Amino acid sequence: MAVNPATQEDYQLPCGREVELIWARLAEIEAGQADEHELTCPYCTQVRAGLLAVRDATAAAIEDDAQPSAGLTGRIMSAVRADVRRRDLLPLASTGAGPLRVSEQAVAAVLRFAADGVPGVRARRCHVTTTAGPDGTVLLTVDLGVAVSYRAFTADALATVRERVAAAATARIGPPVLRLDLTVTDLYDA
Amino acid sequence: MTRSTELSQLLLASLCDVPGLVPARPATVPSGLPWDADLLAVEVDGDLVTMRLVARELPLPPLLRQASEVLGAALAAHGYGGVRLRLEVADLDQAAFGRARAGGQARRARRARAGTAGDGSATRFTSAGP
Amino acid sequence: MNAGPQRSSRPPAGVTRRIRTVVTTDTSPSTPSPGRPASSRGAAPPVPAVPVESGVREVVVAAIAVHAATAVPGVLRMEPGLSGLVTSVTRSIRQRLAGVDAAPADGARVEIDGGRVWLDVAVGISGHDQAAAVGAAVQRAVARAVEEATGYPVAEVGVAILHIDPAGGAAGAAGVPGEELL
Repeated sequence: MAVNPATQEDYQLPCGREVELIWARLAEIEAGQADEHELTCPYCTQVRAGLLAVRDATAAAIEDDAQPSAGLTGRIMSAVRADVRRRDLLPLASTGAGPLRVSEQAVAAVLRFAADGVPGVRARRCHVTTTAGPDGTVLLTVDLGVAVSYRAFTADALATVRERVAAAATARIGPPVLRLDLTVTDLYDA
Repeated sequence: MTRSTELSQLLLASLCDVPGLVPARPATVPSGLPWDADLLAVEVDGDLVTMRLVARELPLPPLLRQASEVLGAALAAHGYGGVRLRLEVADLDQAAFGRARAGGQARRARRARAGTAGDGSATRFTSAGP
Repeated sequence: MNAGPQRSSRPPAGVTRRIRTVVTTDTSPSTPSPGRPASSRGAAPPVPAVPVESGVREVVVAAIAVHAATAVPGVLRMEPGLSGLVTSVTRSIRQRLAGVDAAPADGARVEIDGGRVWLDVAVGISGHDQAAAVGAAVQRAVARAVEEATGYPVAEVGVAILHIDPAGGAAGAAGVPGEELL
């Protein structure tokens, strides 16, 4: 299955800027070469402050002759992604032991993956919300957009997408799907 | 030698009888100290003595009880009976979890601790078993 | 970025900042050696006990939580945010200088209040097992581990699953290498 570019938005902030770009431009911004968006956007500003803190902490590590951890850049990127994902959490279940929540982006990635498994179908956007079901249970409402191959697409494909998404929701996430709005947004040639 | 240095050295020496605990360094320790940096683990404020420790064993309650007995007895025996002692577990050494976990769980946990090395190459542990 | 866990129960009034140390328990040694009756002629008077209290810092509880969470089947790793990463980097430098192999505490936030512990952990899972089931297992494992290791009752363990391997851990227990490098 080909890499689906729609699933690669992990390092993009809600404002559309890429985190790796902010990291790369730290020195320039400090030298006063920030563009207007970088100066005013609350997401970029917050991420930049966090990255500066990590960079300074590692500079201290280097001065102290201690080895910075392997893969620190990777950990930084993961940490920023974690912060972004923390903004969109969905309740998962009531356990009584404390809040149990899941990232909407993580759920969307699982459901898009399920749809991608259907021949002739590529998942595009996926947005998930929850509602409260009976007895404190959680139900999912899924808004899924797909592109279909005009060569390989079959009449059953959309029905199969519905089945796969519903199955993935209960098997891999937990809550059942209350409603799935499925939209064909695009055609592709393959 | 000041009273507080003497007291600190007594506590540090007695702590050797509690292998599960070692003295902790405070947050900012300048390098190249001319004296034993372990002394910084003990803070004397009048009759209140605070000792910051790193735990190398779990669980903590029996460890802290043991430390209280050993250190309390040492203080009392050396004429520091009027002192109030406060023990603070400031950090935890990985050794507290031991190495005796088999198989995939341990490998996954080591990878998680190492952060990003998928092949576990950043780990500082050697395999204890197959 | 807030420093404390997201609590569902209201914290007691007055708790507006991270509390560095926890409960102080009186671990004073009890009365002097029972083998020495005070009335014996010539026996030395019992040495008065020095009052000792003890406390445990949040980072210790966090490390215990991380160890328990990452041992739960299906959990790939912790998912700390930037503030957690900064704390972790500075702590590991300090501890390495002191010869301590600091147990990782990234991805767990701890608050202690009134002798009880509130925790919030963020994890990434393999997706092989149902997320809700893994999350509930993490809650149980963390609560049990913290109570056993510290003796403090756990009021709440919040879990946020921030990553699920879309392929469902199809590569097996080793996880997907590409994902781990992120």
